[in-house]
Amino acid sequence: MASYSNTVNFGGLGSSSFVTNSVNAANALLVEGNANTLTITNATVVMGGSSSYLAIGNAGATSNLVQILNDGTLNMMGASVNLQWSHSAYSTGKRSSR
Amino acid sequence: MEPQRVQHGQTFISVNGGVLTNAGSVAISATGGANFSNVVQVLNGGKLFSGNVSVGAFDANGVYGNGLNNGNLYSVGGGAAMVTVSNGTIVLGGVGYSTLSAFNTMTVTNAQLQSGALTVGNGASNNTVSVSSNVTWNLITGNITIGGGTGNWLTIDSGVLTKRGRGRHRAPTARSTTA
Repeated sequence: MASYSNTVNFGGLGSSSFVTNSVNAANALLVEGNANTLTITNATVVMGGSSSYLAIGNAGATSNLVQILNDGTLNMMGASVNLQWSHSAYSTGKRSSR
Repeated sequence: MEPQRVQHGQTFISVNGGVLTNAGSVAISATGGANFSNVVQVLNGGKLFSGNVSVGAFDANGVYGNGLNNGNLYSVGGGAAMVTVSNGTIVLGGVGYSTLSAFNTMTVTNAQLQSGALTVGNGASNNTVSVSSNVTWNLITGNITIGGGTGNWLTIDSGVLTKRGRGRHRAPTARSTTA
């Protein structure tokens, strides 16, 4: 279930070295619910290629923020970025089509 | 499974001095219902490198939207430091439910931008692209298409659009008038 008003930080100001986080292939980085913030600063986050994805604000969510600040890198490795995608389409691993 | 048809909105991706790289398609307001006021912004020296970008109901991968997708923004540039952006094709407006995907905006200022083809309208109405000062936009492949709906605008004010290095194109405000 989506949660609300959370803050997640990858890295952080004052870190002495870069931190590499990873989202493995066929997995997702999701920001759901309302008023959540994901911040990447002084860190490198690497996605798992085209079979992974970053989705923000699905499931009827509002007011979510993903921010990539100075010295922050989000390397998508070919993965897609989607704002306001259908949650149900993701949950089935399929995209809606007409 | 049918996508949910609910109202979403006010979702941000802010590349504020950081780097978002190697992205596939970027869909600002995609399928799933009524999507309003979603923003991707690159500012303060930020860098964005991606495949195709869609602003409105039309997904860059060719999947049609299914509802209202209005008032979404793709903002390239802002702050003192120039931003650097590379995209595939850029499409504002929808297909299929085209008339419902309107009033989407792209602004470009203080930026080095290269892209594929640019489409403003794409069957929808009242979508706008504004290019202002200190911009060099190199359309590497494809053409600029304005229309398919009504009231779609490409405004170039002090910016420069180039294509394949074969000369510069400076144009006054352009506007589509018919579908």
